[in-house]
Amino acid sequence: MFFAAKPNVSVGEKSRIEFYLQQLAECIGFDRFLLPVLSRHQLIGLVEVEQHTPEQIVCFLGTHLNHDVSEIRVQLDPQQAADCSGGG
Amino acid sequence: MLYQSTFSQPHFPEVVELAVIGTGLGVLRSNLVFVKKVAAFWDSTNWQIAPPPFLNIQSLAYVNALAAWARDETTPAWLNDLNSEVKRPMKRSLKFLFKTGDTFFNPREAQNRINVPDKQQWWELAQHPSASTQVIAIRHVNTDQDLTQQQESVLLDKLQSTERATTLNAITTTERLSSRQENEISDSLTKQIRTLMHHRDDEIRAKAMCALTTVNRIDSSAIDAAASMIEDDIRHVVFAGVYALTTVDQLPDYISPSFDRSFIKALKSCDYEFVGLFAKGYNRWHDDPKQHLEQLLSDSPEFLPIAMEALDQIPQQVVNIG
Repeated sequence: MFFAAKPNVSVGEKSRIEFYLQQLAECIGFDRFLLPVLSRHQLIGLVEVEQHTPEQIVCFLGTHLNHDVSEIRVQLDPQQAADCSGGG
Repeated sequence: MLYQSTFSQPHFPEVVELAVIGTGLGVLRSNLVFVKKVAAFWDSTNWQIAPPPFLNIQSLAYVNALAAWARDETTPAWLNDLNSEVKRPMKRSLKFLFKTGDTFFNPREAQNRINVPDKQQWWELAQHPSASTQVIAIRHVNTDQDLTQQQESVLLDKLQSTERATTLNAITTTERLSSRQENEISDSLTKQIRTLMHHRDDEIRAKAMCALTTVNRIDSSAIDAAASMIEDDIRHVVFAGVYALTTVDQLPDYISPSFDRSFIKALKSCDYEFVGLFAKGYNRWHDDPKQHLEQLLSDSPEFLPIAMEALDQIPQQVVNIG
């Protein structure tokens, strides 16, 4: 028996996702949607290595996306830091 | 980056997630399940109203499949970085995409353009073999004049589609084209939408009724259909029925008892938004609506203050049926 290949989402959801991806690509460039997909190892390594400051992480992402991140300032949320040290 | 590029919806987390995965940064995100089931707005053609907060598992899988397909990766190395819950459906869609190439979004060719205001292009794409491309096209078709015979036949064809999303979006588009340009909707389109009032799918039924109401084509058959809708258990079906009935000048006597029953049901379930919509009908049909409600609620006086308040607030009422 012949079974036609089918996507895992409904036509409505498929359309919605494709539309927004198209809209995004038209805005930030189609080339960016052809950049290599970074592996789990690369992404985890990026945040786990202690030497990497938040600025370096932003710089890495900027390089990947070919986007100027020099204007981006990273500010750690003090509330978040307090929450993290709590517990017990 | 989205803000700097003046993207129109950088505040929608779900769209940001699409950008993250699409640009190759989504492997870690794809392994996190933020939502098991997303509550959706009843009208699935309204993408801007109550958009899902995050991508669910199935959507994550499809976006990842598109990401791999766009890069021409049949078995990407990063596939093994995804958990099985996402990987399995993703592989299914990846196979589908490589077999059919059926997607509106194709960054390698970048042929389609949403921002190019070519009206004819959308009418042509509405007849594309891909159902999702059809849906996107139907949402964009437009005209400055009355519909041509060919455009009308395209819409009619989409209203008759066996694909649910196509039918739903065709109803929305017919309603939009008719109401924006103050054009009279043709008899053949009206007739087709009337048949959809009896569709087995509740969303199609409700949308068809709402569309007929908006374009002011409620006739006796629509009133009959609305009468059965107001006794339904599905909220948006009830809404569509009540919405339609509140636009007619006179409620047929045989419908009054079921309208009253549904009104009391809304009061008992503390559905105050619906109570307001019902009140609008009573206000329209009765010279003294307060007296009518006092008689109707004589056995349940505890509901009377709410009913009276709804009558007083008719000018400001907004019904949210998400």
